[in-house]
Amino acid sequence: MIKGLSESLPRKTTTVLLMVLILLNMAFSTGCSREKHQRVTAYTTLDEELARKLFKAFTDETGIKVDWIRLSTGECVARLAAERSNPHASIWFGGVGLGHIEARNIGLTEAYRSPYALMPIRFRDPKFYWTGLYASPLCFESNTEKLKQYGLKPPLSWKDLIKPEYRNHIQMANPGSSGTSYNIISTLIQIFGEEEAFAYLSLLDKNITHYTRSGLAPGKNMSIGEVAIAIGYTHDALKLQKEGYPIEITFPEEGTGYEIASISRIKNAPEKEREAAKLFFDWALQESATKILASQNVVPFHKTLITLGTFSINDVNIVHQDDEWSAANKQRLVEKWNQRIGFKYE
Amino acid sequence: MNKSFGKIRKDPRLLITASIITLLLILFILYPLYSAFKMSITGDGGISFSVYREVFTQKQNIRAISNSLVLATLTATFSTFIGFTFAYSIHRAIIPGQKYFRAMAILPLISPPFMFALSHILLFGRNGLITARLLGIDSLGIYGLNGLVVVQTMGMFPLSYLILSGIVRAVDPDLELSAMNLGARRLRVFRTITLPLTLPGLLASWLMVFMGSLTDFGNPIIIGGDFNVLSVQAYLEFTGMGNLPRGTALAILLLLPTLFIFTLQKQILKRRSYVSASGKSVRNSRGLGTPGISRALFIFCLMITVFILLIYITIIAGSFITLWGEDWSFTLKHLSYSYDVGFKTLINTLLLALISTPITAAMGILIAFLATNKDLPGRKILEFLSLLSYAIPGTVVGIGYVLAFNRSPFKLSGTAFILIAVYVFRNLPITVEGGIAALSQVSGEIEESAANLGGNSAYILRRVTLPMIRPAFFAGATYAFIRSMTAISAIIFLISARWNHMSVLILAQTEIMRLGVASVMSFVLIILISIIIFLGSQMTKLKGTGLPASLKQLKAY
Amino acid sequence: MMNYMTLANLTKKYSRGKGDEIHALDSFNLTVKKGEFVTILGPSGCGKTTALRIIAGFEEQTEGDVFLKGENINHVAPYKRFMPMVFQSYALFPHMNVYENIAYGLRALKKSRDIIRNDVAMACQVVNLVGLEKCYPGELSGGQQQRVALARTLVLKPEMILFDEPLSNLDVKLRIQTRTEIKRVHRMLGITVLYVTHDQSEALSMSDRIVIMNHGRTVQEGTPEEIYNNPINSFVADFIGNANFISAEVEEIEGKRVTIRLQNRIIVVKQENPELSFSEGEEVYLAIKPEATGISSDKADFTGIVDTRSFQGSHTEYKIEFEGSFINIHQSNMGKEIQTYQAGDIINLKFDKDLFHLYKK
Repeated sequence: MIKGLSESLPRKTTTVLLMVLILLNMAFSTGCSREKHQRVTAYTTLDEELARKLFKAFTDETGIKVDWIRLSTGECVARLAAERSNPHASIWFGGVGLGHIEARNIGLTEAYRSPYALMPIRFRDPKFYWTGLYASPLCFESNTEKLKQYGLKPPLSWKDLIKPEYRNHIQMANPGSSGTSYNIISTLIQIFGEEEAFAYLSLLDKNITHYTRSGLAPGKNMSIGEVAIAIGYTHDALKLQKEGYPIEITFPEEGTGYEIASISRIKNAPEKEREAAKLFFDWALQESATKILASQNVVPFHKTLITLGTFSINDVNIVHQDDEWSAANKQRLVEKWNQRIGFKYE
Repeated sequence: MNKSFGKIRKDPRLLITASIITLLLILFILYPLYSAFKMSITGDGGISFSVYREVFTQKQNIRAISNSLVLATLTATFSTFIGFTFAYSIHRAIIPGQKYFRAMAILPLISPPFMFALSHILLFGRNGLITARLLGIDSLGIYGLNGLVVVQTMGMFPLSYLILSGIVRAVDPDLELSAMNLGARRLRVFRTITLPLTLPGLLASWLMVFMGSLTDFGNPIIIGGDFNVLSVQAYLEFTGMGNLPRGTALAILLLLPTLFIFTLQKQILKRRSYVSASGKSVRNSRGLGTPGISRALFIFCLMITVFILLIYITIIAGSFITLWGEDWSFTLKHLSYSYDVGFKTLINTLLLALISTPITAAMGILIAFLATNKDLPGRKILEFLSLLSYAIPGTVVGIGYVLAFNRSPFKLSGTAFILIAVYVFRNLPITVEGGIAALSQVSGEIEESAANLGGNSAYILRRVTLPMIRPAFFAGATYAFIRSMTAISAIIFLISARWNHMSVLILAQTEIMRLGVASVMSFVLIILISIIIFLGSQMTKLKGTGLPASLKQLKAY
Repeated sequence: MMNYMTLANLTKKYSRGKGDEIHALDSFNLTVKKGEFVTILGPSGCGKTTALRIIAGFEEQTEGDVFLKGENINHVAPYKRFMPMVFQSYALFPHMNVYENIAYGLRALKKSRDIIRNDVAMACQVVNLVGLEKCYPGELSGGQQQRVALARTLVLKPEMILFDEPLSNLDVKLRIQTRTEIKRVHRMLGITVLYVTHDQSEALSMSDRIVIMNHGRTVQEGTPEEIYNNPINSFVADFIGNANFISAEVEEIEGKRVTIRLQNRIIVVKQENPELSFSEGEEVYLAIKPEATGISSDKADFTGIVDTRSFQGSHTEYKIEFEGSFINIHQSNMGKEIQTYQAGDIINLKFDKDLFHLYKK
């Protein structure tokens, strides 16, 4: 019967088979000799639009193509861990520094001392496992129209957030998947101490609509009015503000945490991407990249022209932040959060 | 036994092919499953069920389990109700517009899986067109159980419709007339005749939708809100928090009910023997309908249809509106942004779907050949293996593939091949079932009579057997194509920087509320799927292999 | 005898879209007297089943009225008409056993359990189903299914039963047996019967009166004998008697005597059909039933050529080429020396001249 099958294939079927072979060839022909050094694979935790601009600029300048997907900090660490024995990407670009420390702690990243890593030591790994790109403080973002609608004032302190009038008006991300959200928890622990911070989080939980997967989502939801108040990073809020959404940014008077968005090289990354990855790493710390970053309302560590209205971490009340401790305790604290706050019923 | 082996020995190619296929099935279906199991019980080395103990002591997991079951129960019930009403209205009642209702009942099947969630936010969200703008309601209700039930029901009642339309049509209208003729009032006829006769279909539909809802990932992650379900919880644990053993264990909890339901469902459909036990009557009869009932059915179908249309119009509108809820001006910027971000992904999605579709269909037919070949030892095992993957939730498949194919000797992750493998092996059951059904229609007698007229085996295959299974082949291919283009739950674990998928991209856009872009991408995906299906049916010149016909063939699913 | 049921000007139109209409019934009239066995006979698509379904209330007529015992029942729901019907497909409820099938109507009427048990047992006795009560329809033979369908209607003790081609799914032997069965039940219980079929032998053997229908209208109505012996036109002659039609020309008309010339012989036909009139020189059909035609071993008036021959047991059928048409002849196989003929043989034909009929061409 099998013999019959092959003998009896009509011409049309043969054509179809041929087409499949051609398509297959297309699918597997990428990364062949001609382009050996012209491709680099990156995971990015930057906002997709910003990431696209940066990668495009890099490709325009160097001719090196970038394959990339956006993953949240948690997703990225998990994926790097899963791919540990067979990593596909060379670079992790952006994302909360805590996540980069966590990745380093479990041996997923590789030290690289870029000649352009000139920032103060608190903004990079002492052994250059991760290198900071910019810092951005956590803030409260409020949709002014929605506040008006509900007769609310923008919150000015962490204590404000747990007031009953904000019930079902606040959104933050899930600390399990979002580095932003875990940053919030670690900040609260810095301010209140661990036990009190969790007591606080239980109270806050009553006011939260739900916990999103990505740290960017609460801000976005706030901007289009799905929720009145979000907790997120300032530069993301500024970006939305400039897009024309009615947003007011406030900082908690008790002090706030911040992220050090970082870049790391991935351990055992594909050999053929090695040089291109280094090239990208260096590029990301230089003028053309920082200019684009600055245009997105962040303050890069590399000196560059800063967009007006941008908040640097020097402009706001910053808590003393111990990212090493936070990274080391992440698993435990997230677990604790899950147990304490759990997942609310509908 | 000896005799059949004797025959097999005559054609060793048959046995070799069967062995190769079996090996492939074991590698791509059983091995990932095994890897997942292994991970869940040997997470920290050494066999222990501590992960499961942990899972069952954590409140949020218990909640996720019960939430999943509640959601699936409600969605299955509503879907079956709407699906039945549609099937009855379209095939039994005499109401205008039946053709359009049918189209509407099938349209959701070619849409990205969570498109309904997306347009639901646009329509009924806190800033939604209907809730906030028209009614002025501050609605938080769409996030959570209520919204999920609506959205899943809209997406899944077509499945109920397809299952039930076959069964409703198989019930002889004369039976209802006869009951009425013997003095039973309409309600009694419905209760004593119509319901019992369609019961197997209702049960099958309920179970299939229950399974679909249970394993759904796209909708809950978008509008689940705090209503956490198992599939999302497994994903978050596995991918978000990097807790591989626990994520895997949660996914495997999904597997148990689906395996159970899968077997139950097969049993029920096997027993639906008494449909059309007696003669045939195709008279277009009003049946139980009074003008009043017809009117009620018409209004019901119309309402659902309007709702579905509204959803699609919203997606189209959302593609061209600057800022939903704030700035209603026309824009093309979402389109150009989508092009920038998504074009490469779109091409790749299409490419991989086009590659895997003919492979799926051909392999399905080949397995059907082998499974219906009475001389082949172990053919039942082959059939079971190939059908098994239907019962495995996408989440489990995704996790299993990540675990199985990320290290030697199978370093496949990150390649196009792993995605193609997922498409092929996940969509295989449909083509295998279709192939077996078609081949069992090609009775031995036809082949014998062809042989009797002097055809050799190649000739018989080409002239008799193949033409008769052609429709099954293309129906399977159509379905496999649609599923590849709209996949999400398994592939979200497997996409890579090089090989992304449109559904994942749309999900990401929806999550960060770039709804315009998400709308454009959904819209383009639907258009693309429709065009390819249309071109395909034109090229193959198979009348009635268009979408509805193909889907009809697959009504068992 | 009073008129039990009357159909007056019953018309049913189906639209096929774009203003295209089919008349399934076209001003159809019918009266059925109490206790009478009336058969509507016609080819498929003539509208007979439509009429029956309108009477049962399954479909609504476009125009016209249905009267039952003098009362207009146009708008009475099917379940209130109490005219149980035996369906062509039997329409037995496949998920119920024989007992439940027969009890269905009684349960719908909310009869007490004892009455139901008693009546079902009686009905089973009448149609010979005792012992099969626990069987499901799928386990029964065609004949048994048929009897369940009948019992299901009889158990309601109706005044009238409708039959929609009830025997067409049975084999020949069973068909004849069931025919007598139905007739027996009709006589025994004195029930009024309206019976629809396309099989003329069923109609002829069972009916008190036959209504022949074509294109939604009555063509001829009468007792089986009247219709068989004096078909009103070539349609009826063909449909009910399988008549042979021979083309001929009218030579002379003299009152009721019409003279026809056939193979140079004169044939005189008594033309008694009041609805037909012929003129001299007109081309007509000369109709004669196969059994009124014979093969003669002696020299006869007419000759034909054997085309085919087929042995049927009790008789042999010959297809003969005669005057440019083919005619069928039945030759009885009774007797001692029957001469058989082969294709191509020229044979002598004799006609029973009194049984000739003339029809318009």
